[in-house]
Amino acid sequence: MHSTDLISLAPFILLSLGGLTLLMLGSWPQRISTRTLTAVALTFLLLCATAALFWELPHEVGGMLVIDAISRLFTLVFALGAAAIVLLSYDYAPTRHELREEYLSLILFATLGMTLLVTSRHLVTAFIGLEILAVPLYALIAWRPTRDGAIEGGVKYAVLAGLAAAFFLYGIALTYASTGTLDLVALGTVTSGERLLPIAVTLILVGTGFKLALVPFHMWVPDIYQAAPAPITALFATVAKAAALVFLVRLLALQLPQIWEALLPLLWGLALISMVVGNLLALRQQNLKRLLAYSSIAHLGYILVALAAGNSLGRDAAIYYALAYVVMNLGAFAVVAALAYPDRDRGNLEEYRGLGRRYPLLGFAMGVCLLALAGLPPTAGFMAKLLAFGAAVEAGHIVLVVIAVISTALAFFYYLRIMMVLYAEGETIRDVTPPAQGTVAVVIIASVLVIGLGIFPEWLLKVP
Amino acid sequence: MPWLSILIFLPLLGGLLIWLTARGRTAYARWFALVVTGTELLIVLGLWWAAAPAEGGYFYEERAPWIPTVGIQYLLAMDGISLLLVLLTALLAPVAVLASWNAVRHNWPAFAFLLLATQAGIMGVFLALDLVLFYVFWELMLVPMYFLIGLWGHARRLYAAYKFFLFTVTGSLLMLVAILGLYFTHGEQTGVYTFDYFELMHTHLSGTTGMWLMLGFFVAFAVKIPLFPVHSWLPDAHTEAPTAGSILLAGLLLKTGAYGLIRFCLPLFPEASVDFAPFGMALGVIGILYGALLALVQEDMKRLIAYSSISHLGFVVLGIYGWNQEGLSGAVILMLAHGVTTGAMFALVGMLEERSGTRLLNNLGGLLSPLPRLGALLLLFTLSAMGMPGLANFAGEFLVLAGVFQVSAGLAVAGALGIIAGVIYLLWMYQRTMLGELQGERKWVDLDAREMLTLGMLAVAVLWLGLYPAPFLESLQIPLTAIIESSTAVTTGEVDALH
Repeated sequence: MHSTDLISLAPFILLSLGGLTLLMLGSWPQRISTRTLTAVALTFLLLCATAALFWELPHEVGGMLVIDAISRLFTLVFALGAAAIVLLSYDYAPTRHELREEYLSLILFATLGMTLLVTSRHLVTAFIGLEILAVPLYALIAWRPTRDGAIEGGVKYAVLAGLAAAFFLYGIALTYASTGTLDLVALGTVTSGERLLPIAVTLILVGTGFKLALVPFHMWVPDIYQAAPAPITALFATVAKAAALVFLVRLLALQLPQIWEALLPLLWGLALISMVVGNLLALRQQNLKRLLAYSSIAHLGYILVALAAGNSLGRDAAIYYALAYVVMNLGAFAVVAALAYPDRDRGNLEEYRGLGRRYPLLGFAMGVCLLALAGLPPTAGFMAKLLAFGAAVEAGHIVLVVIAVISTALAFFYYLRIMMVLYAEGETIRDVTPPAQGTVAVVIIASVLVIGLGIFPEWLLKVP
Repeated sequence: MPWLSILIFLPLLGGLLIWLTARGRTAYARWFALVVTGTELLIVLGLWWAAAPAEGGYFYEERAPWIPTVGIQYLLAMDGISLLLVLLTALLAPVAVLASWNAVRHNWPAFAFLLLATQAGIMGVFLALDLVLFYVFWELMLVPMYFLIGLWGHARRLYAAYKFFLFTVTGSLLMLVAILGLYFTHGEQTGVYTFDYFELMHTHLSGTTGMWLMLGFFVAFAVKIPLFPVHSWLPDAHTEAPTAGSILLAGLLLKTGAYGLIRFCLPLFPEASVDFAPFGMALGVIGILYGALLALVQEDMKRLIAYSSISHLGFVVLGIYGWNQEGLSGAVILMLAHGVTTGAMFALVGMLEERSGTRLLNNLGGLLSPLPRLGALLLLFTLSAMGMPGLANFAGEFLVLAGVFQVSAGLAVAGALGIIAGVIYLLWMYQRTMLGELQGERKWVDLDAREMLTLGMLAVAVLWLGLYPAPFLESLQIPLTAIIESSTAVTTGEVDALH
C-alpha cells in the first residue's frame, strides 16, 4: 500500500473512527454533555472534508475506489452537508433530549456510506456503500419512536430499501454473469452484444430508482418525509439522494455502447413520469414536507432528462444539478427545522402563515430556496435547469424538453403558493421562539450558496 | 463609467437598501424610493443627451465574460429603440412611486423594494443582448410584480397574481427552449457556441427549424403583449394590481413583449417572420377589435383601460408586422405613447378611487365640478388615448396605419375601426365619470401638488410626443433600417448576400 493510497483512504478512516469514538464516548463512565459529543462529531466531519482536499487526483485504490474531481467534490459536499445536519439536529426542538452518541455516530456512518458510493468504481463497493448508507437511515427515521408514524416510517423504509437492495444485487449478479467483470471501467469497454446486460443494468437502475424515488418507485417518499424529524428528512432528501445520483451518473456516463439504445426509452419514461407525476401530486398538497417530497421527485425527473441526453453536457448538468439540489433542499429543510414546534414539525401550510414577516431572515432564505427550486434566475436552480434542458436540446430530445418545461411552469404554482402563505397576513401564533444560531448559520450559508452557485456556476463547471 | 449596469443595479441595490434600513419608517422609504428613481431618470436623460451612435447604431455597449464555458456573456447594449424604452421606464418609475405615496398603506419599505426590483428587471430586459442574460431579466421582473399584485392588490389579488405568473412563465420557458435550440443550431454550424445576439443573427435556419424557433420566442412575447388567445391574464392582473402595479404592468411590462418582437423575432428569424407576418398582422387586428369591443361593455374603469390596452397593443403588433419604416417607427412611438397615456390613466383612476372609494362607472358621475383639475387632466389623457391629433397616440397610430396601408389596405381599415370604437368607449367613460349628476354627499378634494407633479410629467411627455416626435423618430432611424433591410433581403431572395 502506497502513501497515496493512505491519503486517499483518510476520509473513510476518519469517518469510521469518528463514529466509533462517539459510541465509546457515549459509554464513558461520566456523562458527557451533548454539546461535547456534537463538537466531536463536527470535528471528525470537518477533518474528513479537509482530508479530501489533500487528495491527489486522479488516483485509484486497488481497483475498488476511484479518486477524481467528482469524488472530491461530493466527499466535501457530504461531509459539510452532514455537518450542517448535525448542527440542525442540535438545535432541533423535538429531539432535543434524545440527541446522543448513537444518533451522531449513525450520521457519521451514513456519511461514510455516501462517500463510499460516490467513489466506487466497482459494483460491489457501490453495493456496500449503499447498504452502509441505508442501515443508519432506518434507525434515524424511526428516531423517537413514540412519535406518530415513526415506527411505520422506519419499517416502510427498511422494507422498500431491502427490496431495492435485492434488485440492485440481482443486477450485479447478472452483470457478472454476462460480462465476467464488475469493474465499471472494464464494463465500459465490453463490446460483446450480451443480451443479459441490458436487463442487468435495468435492475441496477430500478434499485437506484428506489433510492432516488423516481416514479413508479416513489410510494415511500411522502410518508417518510413526513414521518422523519426534519433534520433527518434533510439528510436523506438531500445528500443521500445526491450520493445515489452520482453513482447513477457514473454508471450512465459509461455509455455502454451496445445497451444505450435499449436503455434510452427506459430513461425517457422514468424522466417523463417522474416530472409530470411529481408536480401534479405536489399541486394540491397541503403539508409542506410532503409537498417538498413530491417536488423532489420532479427534480429527479429533470436530472434524468439531462442524463438521458447521454452527452458530456448532460453529465455536467446532472452533477451541477445534484449539487444545486442538495443546497436548495438543505436550505428549505433547515427553515422547516428552525420553525418546528417544541414537540413536532409544523405540518399544514397554514401553520406557516405569516412566518416570513415574523422571521424576516428565515422568510427570505426560504424564498430564495423556493425560487431556486422553481428554477428562477439568478439562482442555482435556474442554471441547473438551463444546463439540463440544454443537454437534452443538444441531443435532439425536443419533445422531452417541452414536457419538462411545461411541468416546470406548473411547478411554479405550488412554490409560489408556499411563499404567499409565508408572507400572508394573519399568522397563527404559537410558541414563538427565535431560531438558534447554528440553524441560522446553515440557513444563511445555504441561501448564499444558492445564489452564488447561480451567478458563478463557472467554478463548478470546470471541476469535472 | 458602466452606465448601463448602473441603470440596472442602482434601483436593485437602492431598493434592497431601503428594505434593509427602513425598519418600518414609511416616509423614509417613500423619499428614498423617489430619490433613487429620480436619480435614475436624470442618468437616463444624461445618457440620451450624450448619445452618439457608434457602429450599427449602438450608443453604449458593455461586455464581460460571465460563464465562458458555455458561451454566456454579460452583454448590455443600447441603441435607439432601447434608449426610448429605457427612457419610458425611467419616467414611469417615479410616477409609480408618487402614485403610491398615500395609496399603499402597509409595509412601504417592502413595497419600495419590489417596485424598484421590477424596474431593475425591466431595465435589464431592454438592455441585455446576451440571450441568457435577457432571459434572466425577463424572469426576474416577474417575481417582484407577482408580489406587488399578490400582497398589495385588491380583492381577487391572489387569483390574478397566479394567473399572471403562470401565463407568462409558461411562455418564457418555451422561449428558453427556443433560445437553446438556436444556440445549438448556431454552434453546430459555426463551431462557436455562444448566446451573443450579434453572432446569432447570422445563423442559417432551414424553413421548419426557423419557424419553430421563431414561434418559441413569439409565444413568450405574445403572452406579454398580450395577443388575442393568450390575453386573459391581463384584465385580471391590471384590475387587481395596486395603482403602481398597474402603471408598471400596462406602461412597461406589455412593452417588453413588443420590444422582444422587434429586437429578437424579426432580426433573428427574418425568413420565418416574413412568412409569419400576415398571421402577425391578423392577430394584431383581432386584438384591436376584440379589445375595443370588450372595453365597450366594461363597468370597472381599470378593466376598461386594461381592455383598451389590448386594443392599443394590437396596433403595435400590426405596425411591427407591417414591417416598413412607417409601421415600425409608428409601433415604437405608439409603445411610448401608450406607456405614458395608460400610466397616467391608471394613476388617475387610482386617485379617483382614493377619493370616491369605487372604480365602477355606475357609482361615479358629475365629478368635473368638484374636481376640476382631475377632470381636466383626465380629459387630456383620454383624448390622447383615443388618438386626438397633436397628442401622443395619434402620432403612433397614424404612422402604423400609414405603414400598414402600403401592405394591406383592408387591415388598415379594420385597424381604423378600432380607433372609432376607442373614441366611443373612452368618451363614454369620461362622460359617465365627469359629467352628469353628482351622486351622494361627500367632501371632495382636488389634486394636490404631488399629484399634479405626477401627472404633469406625463402630460409634458404626451404633448411632446404628439407635437414634436421628430427627436424620437430620429433615434429610431438606424436600428429600424437594419431590421427592414433583413426583410427586403428575404423577400428579394438575397438572404445569402446578407450573411
